[in-house]
Amino acid sequence: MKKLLMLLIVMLVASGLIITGCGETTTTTTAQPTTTVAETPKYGGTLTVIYPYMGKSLGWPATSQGGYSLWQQVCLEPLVQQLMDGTFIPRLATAWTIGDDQSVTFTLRQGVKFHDGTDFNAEAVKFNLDAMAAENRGGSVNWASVDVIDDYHIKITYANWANWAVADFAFAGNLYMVSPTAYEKNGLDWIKDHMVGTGPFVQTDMEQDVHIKFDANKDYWQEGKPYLDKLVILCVEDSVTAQTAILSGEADILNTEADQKVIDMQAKGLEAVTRMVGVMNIFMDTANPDSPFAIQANREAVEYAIDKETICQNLSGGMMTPAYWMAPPSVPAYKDIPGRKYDPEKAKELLAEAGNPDGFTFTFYPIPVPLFENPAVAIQADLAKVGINAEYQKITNTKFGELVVGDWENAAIFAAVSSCVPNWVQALSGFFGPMSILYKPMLRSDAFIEAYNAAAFTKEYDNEKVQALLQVMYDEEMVIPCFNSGEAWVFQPYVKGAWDPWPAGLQMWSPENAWLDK
Amino acid sequence: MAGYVIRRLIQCIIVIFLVTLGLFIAMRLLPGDPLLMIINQEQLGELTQERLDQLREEYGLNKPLVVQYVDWISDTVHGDLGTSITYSSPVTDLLTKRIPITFHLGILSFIIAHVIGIAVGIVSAIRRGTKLDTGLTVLANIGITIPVFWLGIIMIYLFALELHWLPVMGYTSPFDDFWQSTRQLIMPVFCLSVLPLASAARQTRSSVLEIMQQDYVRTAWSKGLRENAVVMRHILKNAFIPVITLAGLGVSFIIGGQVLVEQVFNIPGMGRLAVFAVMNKDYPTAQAIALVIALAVVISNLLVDLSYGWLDPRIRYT
Repeated sequence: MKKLLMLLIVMLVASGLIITGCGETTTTTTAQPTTTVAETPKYGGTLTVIYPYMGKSLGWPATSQGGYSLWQQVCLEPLVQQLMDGTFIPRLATAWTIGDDQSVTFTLRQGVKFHDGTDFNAEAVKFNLDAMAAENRGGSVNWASVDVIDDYHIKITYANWANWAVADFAFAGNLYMVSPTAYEKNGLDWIKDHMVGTGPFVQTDMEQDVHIKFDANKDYWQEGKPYLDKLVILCVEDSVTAQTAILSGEADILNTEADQKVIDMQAKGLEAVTRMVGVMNIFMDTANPDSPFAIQANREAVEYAIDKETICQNLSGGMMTPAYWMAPPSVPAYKDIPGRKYDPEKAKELLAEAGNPDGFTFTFYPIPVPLFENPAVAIQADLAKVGINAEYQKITNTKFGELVVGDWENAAIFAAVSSCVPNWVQALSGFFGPMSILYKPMLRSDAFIEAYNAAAFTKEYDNEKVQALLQVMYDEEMVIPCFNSGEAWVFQPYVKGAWDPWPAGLQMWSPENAWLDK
Repeated sequence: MAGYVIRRLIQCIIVIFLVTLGLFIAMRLLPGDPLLMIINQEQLGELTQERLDQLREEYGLNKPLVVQYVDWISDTVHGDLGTSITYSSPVTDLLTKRIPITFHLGILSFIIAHVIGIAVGIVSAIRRGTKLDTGLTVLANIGITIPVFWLGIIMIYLFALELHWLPVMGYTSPFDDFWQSTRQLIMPVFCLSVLPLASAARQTRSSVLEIMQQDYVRTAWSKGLRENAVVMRHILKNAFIPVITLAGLGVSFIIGGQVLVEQVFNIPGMGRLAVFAVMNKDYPTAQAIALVIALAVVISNLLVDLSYGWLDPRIRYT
């Protein structure tokens, strides 16, 4: 009986500890990647990384899903690499020129070999770009032609120029180079599951939705790299299991959204780097004349009614920050403006001005992930205080997908624009651009289209024009920016160099520079 | 006997048909377009109507529902379970990799739960009213009420995070690394076994107690037979019918419970695939998994029914 009692006590104490752990709050400052202290990298070891999802067709970017660069970057490389300040670093291309005829000509790196021992050259690049064009991927809808000039020069001419043309060839553009020989020899089904690129690691084993294992590429073109002997990426969907795995030392790195759990893990001795990747917004059916959102005063009332500061502090421990501008602080187009800060009285005035002194009702669809669902409940409560009834609808991922390409009335969707690219028009293009089929019930005014065209179709990126575009979006309250959301890499203190440099894009890292200080 | 088996097999086919129909309709009633699930938010920016139409045709989703159902049933009968919408690979290939893992866990859990559960029930009944009986009964009651996912998290916290005795997650084939496989399986198998073990213990205890009151058992004791002989020969066989019935139901619990356990312990089995398929409206995969589960349950129930005649020769199949 005593043993039984002891067992019960142990279980109760354990559950209490877990609950206490979950409720813990700290104000630990998030570390940023630094290059200030030059440490000599150590060779060897195996790095284990955890990520909740494994994309399909990773080895064939023409049909792979976007947002899985974390896996692909290990084996595959693009022509250039872009940083968040907008600068480009050579990768498989050593130089590039933007021509007056709406073209980009790349000079390719010589002496690079694919993992199967074949040469990387202009024909290989053309093969990959043609494959992307066949699937209308990677910005290829804008290309007029892809021409091989010689073995190491290739020219892409544009039918529709946009000033992120070169950025399309960086990591975030998903235009990775795959061995044409591996494709031709083994076929499409095989290549989808086998990443045969020029990258720092060679894929050795893959089990879909379980893991991919890699060995160092001994013939990697960056001399002396990679530092690690082996690398393993595990797919762990359950967030609690993933956190426990890294806390117990079974994993070295965990990529996750930046929220309270990152602070909790830091408090337990792990380190983290974070950066803002996008803005969580409320998209409204402004094009529908019968919608309350057709009236700008109603839209502004909604923004004034949301206490963004308190929501960010209470729900993310400050990892999310209030957003008043349609670009996150990590991009050059960001502007620190006073914004429409929390003012419920002003919200009521605006509602009265719009002819809705008692508020109005609309359907509120948050994207079905906890990062959005929890703040959505807080937003709903804030809106109720000024008489706006947001009828919260919990939806599935499939329903969300249907909504973003479909029609909806008297409704708003709470979702993000997140790309983590320095040219913010590039991020906006898929959502608001002329080719976009998303958020159709949202009105694109003439002023917006004019500002968009001015910002997107110049020869080179012009920050002033991008900010002018964002100003139009702000003035018209086209969408309601709510929170700047971030991504986080949580890691063991002995992991070094993995974000040095930190390429632009979501879930980006530098596996070739990662090393273990142990 | 043969007539009974044939009749039961026909019933099984009808049940399976109804399950497939119910699941087919239920999956289509869920909101959302499955094709949009294979295109994540980043790719949505590149989405065109032509691309959507092309994908819809590729997966046969542009056909009327009746035609889709008939196509699926017809292909299934011919051994083709279709192509997964999310994985773009044959469902048969996916199941071939996942089913052995789920069955490995399930069979281990089933054996452990019922061997230990029955033994505990027998000991409890024979030592009725003792401290041992009280202790085992309390444990069995806890086992029945404890939620599997909570138990899993508590075990991970204690044995993996705090004590570092066991790995948090993962699955390794015992043919690749037996020791690692065993260490990884201890927690999930324990979680899956707890409820059927506790149920088997309680059912065995009550059945054995009931049989122990019978005249033929009293006669056996009075003949001076040893305890082992009385229990094994005269009590157990007769007490087994309700236990076996419960064990049959335990099969469906173990398969269903794996959905949670595989998720918590990150085991790439059929349960985790089922969650993924349903969440993503991957019709062919979800339908195939439900079919496999329905088959497993129906077959186990058939075997349970047939075992009654072996356990109690007085039972005749007509």
